Amino acid sequence: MNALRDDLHELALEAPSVDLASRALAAARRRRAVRLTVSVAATVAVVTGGVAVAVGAPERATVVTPQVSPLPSDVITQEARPLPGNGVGALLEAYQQQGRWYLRTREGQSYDAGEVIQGDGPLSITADGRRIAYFDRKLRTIVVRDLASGQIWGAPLQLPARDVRRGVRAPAVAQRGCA
Amino acid sequence: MDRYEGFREFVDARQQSLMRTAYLLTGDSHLAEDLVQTVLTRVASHWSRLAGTGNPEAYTRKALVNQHLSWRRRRSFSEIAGLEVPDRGEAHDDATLRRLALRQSLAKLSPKQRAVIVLRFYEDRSEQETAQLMGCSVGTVKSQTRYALSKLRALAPEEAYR
Repeated sequence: MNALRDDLHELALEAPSVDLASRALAAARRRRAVRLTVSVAATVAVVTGGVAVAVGAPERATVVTPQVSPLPSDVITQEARPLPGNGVGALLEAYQQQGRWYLRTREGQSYDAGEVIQGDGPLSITADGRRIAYFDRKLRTIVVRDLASGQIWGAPLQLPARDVRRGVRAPAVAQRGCA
Repeated sequence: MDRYEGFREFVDARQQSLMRTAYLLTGDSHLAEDLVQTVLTRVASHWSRLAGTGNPEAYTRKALVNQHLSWRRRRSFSEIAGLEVPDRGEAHDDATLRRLALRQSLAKLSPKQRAVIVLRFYEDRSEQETAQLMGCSVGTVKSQTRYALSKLRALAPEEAYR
C-alpha cells in the first residue's frame, strides 16, 4: 500500500494554494446579517399580526394606513416635541427633515424622534399606527416599540459593537413603509 | 471581544492541508476550493462556541468529509473530463503514469469509497477514526475500503497497488 500512499501524496500536491480566511469570514458575516434580518422580519410580522388581530376585521377597513416618507404630507403647523417614552397616539405618518425622523399622529401632533431613531436608519410603522420598528443603536438591534405604553421588543440578534461604531448600516426593516 | 478572534490563525495554519484533502476528495481544484470555503464559512459561523468549548479541528475535518458526501451528485458531472492516461511510449515515467491512472480511477469510485481511500491511505487514519469522521460503522469502513481497493487494483496499471 505504500505505492498508493505515495501516489496520493503526490497527487495532493497538485492542489492550488489558497487564502480563504478573509472569504470565509466575509461569508460568515453575511450569513449572520441575513439571520438577523430574517429574525427582525419575523419579529415585525408577529407584532404586526398581533395588531391586526387586536383591531379586528370591521375596524380594519377604517384604519388609515400610516405613511413613511422623506417629506411631511403638508406644512407642519404645530411645533414638534421630543418623542416621549410613552403616551403617544396612533401615527399618521413619519418623515425626515434635516436628517432627523419626525412622527406625526392622527391628531396632528408632531414628535421629533431624532434622539431615538438614527437619522438615516430604517423605520417602519404598523398598519394601525401604534407601533414602530427601527434600529436602536444602544441595543444594536432592531426593536419594535409600542408608542402608547412605551414597551419595547428587541430582536434576538445584535450587530457587533465594532460594526455599529464603524457606522455599518443597519439591516432594512422590510420596505420603508408599513410593516 | 471579536467573535471571530483566532479564526484567521486557525485557517492560516490548516487551509493548505484541508485543500489537499479536498482536492483528493473532489478531483477538481475549483470544487476543492468551494468545498473548503463552504466548510470554513460554517466553522466561522460557530467559531465562538468551537473556540471556547469545542474542537475546531475535529469539527472542520468532519464537516469537510460530510460536505463532500453531500455534494456527490454535483461532483459526478464535473470531474474526470478529458483525463486520459498517455501511452507508455511517450516521455512519462512510471510514477507519473501511475498517478494519472490513480486520478482517473479515483473518479470512478463512489464518494464513500473515495473518502475511505483518502482518509485511510492519505491521512493515515485508523478504521475507527475514519468511521467517526464519516459518521458510519467500522464495518462499513472495512467493506468500503475493500471494494475501493479492488476497484483501484483493477483499474491501475499492472501490479501498482498489490
